[in-house]
Order: sequence, then structure tokens, then C-alpha cells
Amino acid sequence: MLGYILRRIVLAIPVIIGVTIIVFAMVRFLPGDPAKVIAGIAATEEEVETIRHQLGLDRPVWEQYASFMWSLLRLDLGKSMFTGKPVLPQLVETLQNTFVLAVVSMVIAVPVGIVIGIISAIHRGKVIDQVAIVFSLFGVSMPAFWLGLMLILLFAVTLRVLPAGGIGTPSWDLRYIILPALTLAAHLIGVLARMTRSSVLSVLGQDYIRTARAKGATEYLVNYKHALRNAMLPVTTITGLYFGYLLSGTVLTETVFAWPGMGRLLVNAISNRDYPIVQGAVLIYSLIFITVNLIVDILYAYIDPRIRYE
Amino acid sequence: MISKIKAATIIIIIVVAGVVGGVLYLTQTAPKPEKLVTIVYGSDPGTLDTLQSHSATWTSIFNSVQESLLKIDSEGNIIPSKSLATSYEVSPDGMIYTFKLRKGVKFHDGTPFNASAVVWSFMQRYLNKDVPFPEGAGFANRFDPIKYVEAVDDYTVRFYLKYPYGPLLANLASYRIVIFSPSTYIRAGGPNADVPLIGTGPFKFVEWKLNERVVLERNEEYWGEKPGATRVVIKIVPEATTRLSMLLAGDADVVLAPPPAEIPNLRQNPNFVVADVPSTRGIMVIMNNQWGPFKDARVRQAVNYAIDKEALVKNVLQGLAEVADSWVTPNVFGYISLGKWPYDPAKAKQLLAEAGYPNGFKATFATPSGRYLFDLQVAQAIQAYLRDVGIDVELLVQDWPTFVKHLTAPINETKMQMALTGYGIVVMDADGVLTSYFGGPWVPQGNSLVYYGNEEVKAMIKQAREEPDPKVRLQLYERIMRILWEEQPQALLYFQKNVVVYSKNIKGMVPSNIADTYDITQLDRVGG
Repeated sequence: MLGYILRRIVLAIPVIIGVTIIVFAMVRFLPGDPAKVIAGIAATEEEVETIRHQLGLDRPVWEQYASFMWSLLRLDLGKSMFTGKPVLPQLVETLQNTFVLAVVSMVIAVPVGIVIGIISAIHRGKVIDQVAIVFSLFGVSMPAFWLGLMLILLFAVTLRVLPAGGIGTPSWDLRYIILPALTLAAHLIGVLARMTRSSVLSVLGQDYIRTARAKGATEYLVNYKHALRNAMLPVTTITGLYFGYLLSGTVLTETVFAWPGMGRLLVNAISNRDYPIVQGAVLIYSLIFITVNLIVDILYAYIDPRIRYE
Repeated sequence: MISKIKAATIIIIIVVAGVVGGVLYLTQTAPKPEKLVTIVYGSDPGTLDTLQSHSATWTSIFNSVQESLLKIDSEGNIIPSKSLATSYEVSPDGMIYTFKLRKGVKFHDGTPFNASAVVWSFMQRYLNKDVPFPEGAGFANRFDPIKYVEAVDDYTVRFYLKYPYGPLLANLASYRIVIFSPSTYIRAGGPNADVPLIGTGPFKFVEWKLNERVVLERNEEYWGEKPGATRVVIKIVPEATTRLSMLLAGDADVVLAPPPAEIPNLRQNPNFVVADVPSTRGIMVIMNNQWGPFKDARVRQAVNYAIDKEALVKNVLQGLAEVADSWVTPNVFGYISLGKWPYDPAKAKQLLAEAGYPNGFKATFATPSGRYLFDLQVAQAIQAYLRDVGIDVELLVQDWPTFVKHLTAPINETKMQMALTGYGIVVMDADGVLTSYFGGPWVPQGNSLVYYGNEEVKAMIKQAREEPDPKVRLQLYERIMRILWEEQPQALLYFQKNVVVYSKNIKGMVPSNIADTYDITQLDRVGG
């Protein structure tokens, strides 16, 4: 197991290098010149050249890349072309904000989604199942944008119990987190409920369940000890991947709620051609996804003893 | 033994209870600081340095922290009670300006405001080629007329010019030209250093959290009339509907530039006040004066005749603009009314035929999206109007960096044929617009986006700029403006309005008539 983990970590390095090369190149292929955006439409050519030189954009691309990788080794992600402030602290702060939102969304969505899915599966065909299916369909189909605005209209404008957006001080002030977290959770609840339901159903149809029942195991034991554990495999994958997705920041929800997270930061940076932020953010995303995938794979081994990594 | 349903219910109850409990616990509101005003705006400042900022709105907000040297009225006279410089004298040849400074003013860091601070601000920042000043082209190419600035004594400053420069006072009064505290920069390493925002203004800078908010607090030692508000928080909320929700929910007191569709409702709502003023942001169709059909003035005139500007303002812009009747607005020195350019598609077709294009022609038309009010919709409407007279335009909807690149290519490389863009007059003197767009060099060296070619007019613009006598300047501007209005190197369509909506408890929220700027120096909250 340890060997497996170490191998995965080592293999992650070429992946990361590949990602940096692709991002570095891609962002420079976009039409538009950050020096001109910073200088503005009214600037003289001299001004633009001065800025271009200050940003190091007049050097050959491979040299810029080498310099970027060299700084990376010293954990320096450079400075934003727009604010001049160092990239890493900015990314860390927005990541923290996104992290808080992601965690709260998961805390709400995972238990609720899984439980709804299980109940649906166990009482398949009955009214409670139908209701749950409609409910989860709703969650999956409602655009985050619309749901977010509806929640704001209801809780902030009409009922006036929660703020309409922004982030509180300190950043884990629940009043500001709850509405965006609910918006994000709605989708995950829908997905998890459906996923869990079908997973549990397929497991319940297996031979070993019939055997367990034949052996005289109680319904409770059958459902929770045998079925659930086996059904959790695909659910864990989804949950892990979704957490990675939430951590990369969900731009629409962050925009609607004015939540200063990674998604918004990255989209603005791409718009402005702020190369260092785009590079730094994508690098962090890849690290997040690689880590999350690794954790999910390890959890597999615990959930299903048949899975062993040599 | 617990049944599955009960177990499930228990889990759900625990989660919900936990969340609700947390919310209730944290919903106990702390007592608010006295007189807090919350403003919401859609984008982040990007920088605190006025020399680097492209945002007129943020620069004007920060003008409450860092002040300009002068405040002038619409005739160009200094208002001594509101100015850091209380009076001035000009030498007879117009080349030396001497200003007397107000005594007893301190910067927020405690250092004194005096002649050496003014000298340093100009010599080390505005006139210093090592300090980038992208918007500097709008200030006579970063104050080219100024030879140097010196301190005569602690409270007297002298500006020596290379040649007479009529718009000097207007430039020094611009909200973008402010006086810095030299010690903050010197301590931090030089005029390019990253320093906190220190000035002489009625508000002090407290903090800027990127993409989140800017916080200001009242300067209790301000030399002039202090605002009523003790703390101003400007929250950065990108989504227009959310900004509005915050206003309706009471989370925000002021919304800058509210979504136009909501304005009629807001006007009806007795809890809010909608203030709109005509601003200096002019929107125009630029045409490459050196390309094909646009070399002929008749074709350019036809473009303007083809567009129904009143309809655009009423239907697309929802009344938030005014059709242009001159190159500048009435509050700008040099304004004369030239008459609105009429909507006459028949005349347009006639002119096109005379110019040799009876069947029209094709052209590309670049437009940004989301940069100016309803820019994309206006471009689409213009496309339809032009099609009616035979001009077949292909819309190129570009994101801002691409658009900037498209518009600022040199003449031998440019693909720009037509585009929708705008200008914001920042200095209340016609010279700014005229030199920038017509008298000065072509892009990318200068800012003439249309590659303007009339050398005679260019010479006149230069003459008007270097003329110290305001009466002579006005006569020159009248001639210049009439010729340009006839020639239509670009079709100036309308000037946008500055709109702000605020709660009835707020006073002193002033949308100024300079494009996208707001004056918060008298912000106050009464009641609520």
C-alpha cells in the first residue's frame, strides 16, 4: 500500500509539469496582450513597451517558462501583472474562502443526499421514493445562478434574516456561507441521491444479499452492513471528484453571492490576461485533483478489501 | 433497534439543527459603528495607485483620500475654500504659474502638506519617465508642457512651462492628479514602491481586500468640511442583481450604476432615491479614416445620418443617455452647441451614391461586450441601421484585451475598419479630446484611433492648446469643432448618464458629471 502511494506521488510530478507547459503555452496563445490591457487604450507605444519590459514579456517564451519553473522550485509563483501583489498569498486566501464554502456544502449535501438515496432504494416504488426522485431531479436541473438569486430574494430581501452576499468577518461566519453553500449543495444532493439509489439497488439485487437473508440476517443488517458498504464505492468516487470540483471554485455561485473565491479570481485573471495568476491557479487545481483522486483510491481499498494495490 | 427511516430522519435533523443553531448564534448582531455607509460596486480597484488605475470610478472614490491641488468652477476659477492651493498668479507670457498653498494641512501619516510635497509629487511621479502613467496621454502626454516644478518657500510652488499651455489649471484640478505624501514613498524605496494610500483628504484608507471590499474611515483632522459618515465600506459585488438585492435587503445603502432595467421601479420606490446626471462619457462609432470608403467625408457623414440616435437612447439605453450635440458636454471649457446630427437614411443613401457607393459596401465592426452600457445591443442596432442604407457590417464581438489590440495597431498593420468605443472626459477642457483623438499622433504612438489626417485642423488644435488667453482659445475651438463636426472622422452618438441609487437615509452621495465618477466627500447618513 505504501509503495502504491509513493508511486502515485512520484507519477504526479510529470503530470504537473505537463500541465504547467500546456497552461503556459495556451494562455500566451490567446489573442490580446496583457501589457496593452494594463497600459490601456490611450497609452503610447512607449508606455506599453515599458510595461511589457517590466513584466518580462519581451523575453523569449522558453526563457519565461524557465524563469517560472525556477521560481516555482522556490515556491514563488510570481506577482500578479495587475495588482503587482504576490500570487501565492492571493491564491491561498481565495482557496481558503473556497475551501470553507466547499466543506460546508459537502457537510450538508453528503449526509442528506446519501440518506435520501438509501431510503429511496429501500422503499423503491413507494411514494417516498417518487418524491425523492422528483426532489433530486430538481436539485440537479436548477441552474446555480437562478437558485442562488432565488435564495437571496427569499432570505435576504423578503425575510431579511440573512445577508444578500459577500463574505463575513471572520470568513467562517455562517450567515454569509449558508446560502451559497445551499446553492452548491442542491446539485450535489440531487446527484448523490440518484447515484446512491441506483448503487444500493444494484447491490441489493446481488446473490450475496439473498444469501445473507437466507442465513437469517435481519433487514437492518442486510441493508446497512452488507449492502451499504458495497454500494459506497461509486458514491465515494463521485463525492471525491465533486469535492475537487467544489474546491476549484464554482464561478457562477461565487459571482452571484460576491464570494471572493478561486473561481472568480481565475475567470477575472483569464479575462485580463493576468498570466501569473492563471498559471498559479491551474497549478493549484491540478495538485488538488491529483490529491483528491489519490485519497479516493485509498478509500476504495478500505471500503472494498478485494481491491489491493501492489 | 432503530428503523432505517428513523435513523435517516435523525441524521437529517442533526444536520439541519446544527446549521440553524449556528446561524442563530451568529445572527446576534454586534452594535454597528456610528454612521457607516455601505456602497456596492461591480469591480475591483485593481490598484491603489492613481497613476496605474484605469477605473474612473475607483479613482474618484480614492479622490476622497488623496486630493488634487486645485478645485475649479466651470469658468476655470479656483474655489479657494475647497482647494489645497488657494490662489495663483500667471506671468504675462503665460510660462510661469505661481500657487500659494493652504497652511496647516497634514497628510494622514502626520507629515505636513507643503510645497515640497507638491514638487515631489510632480517631479518624482507625474513627470518621471521611470514611473509608468498609462492614462498620462490624456494629460498632454504626461504633462509635456511642464519644464519643472520648484518650491519657492514652504507654501509657494512655481510651475515653469516650456510653452504656454491653456488647459494647465483644468489639468491640475483633475480628480486623477493628486498630491502624494513623499515620505511614504521614500520610506518604501522610491516613487514606484507599493505603498499604502496616504493623502490629505476627508477619508483615510483602512484596507483593501482583493475582490472583496475597500474600507475608508473619516479623517478627524481634515482641514475642510468633514463628512457626516464615519466609515465607508465599498463592497465588490460582480452580479448586478445581487447588488440590487443587497440594497433592497438593507445590506447596502448605495448602488453605483444600478441595472438599467430596474431603474423605473426604483424611481417609484419611496425608500430610495435615484440620481442621474449627464456625464462626459461619449460613445462613438470610429472609422478608419485611411481605409477605403471612409477616406471620403461623405461616407462618414452617411454613417451618422443612418443611425437613429434618439431611438437608440430611448429604446436601447432606456433613457440613460443624451444625444450628443457637440464633441464635449456643456461643463467643459470650449463647448459650443453644434446641433444634433439628424437621422436621415435617405440623405445617407444619397451621400453614399455621390461618393461612389450606390450599392453600399462591406466593413467589419468591432465591439466590446459589457464594457460600455449596452454596448453589444447598441452595436447590433447600428448594424441594422447601416444595413438599411446598404452598408453591410460584420460584427466582431471581442473581449477587452483583444479589442484593445484591434484598435491600437499601427496604420500599416491595422485591420480596424469600424468600431464602437467611447471616451470619458477627465479634464474639463476641450483640448483633451481634440488633441487625443484628432490633433495628436495616431495609435499606437498616440491616441488617434481613426488615423485622422487633416493637417490644417491639427495645427489649429495645437495653436489653441498653446494660447494663454481663454477668449482666443474659445474662438479657435469654435472653428475647430465646426470643421470636425462637418468632417465626422468619428460619429459621436451620445453621452451616457451617471446613475446612482441610494437609500433615503443617505445624504451627500453625488454622481458627478465627469464620466463614471462619484464624489463621496460629503457622505452622510441621517436616521436609520
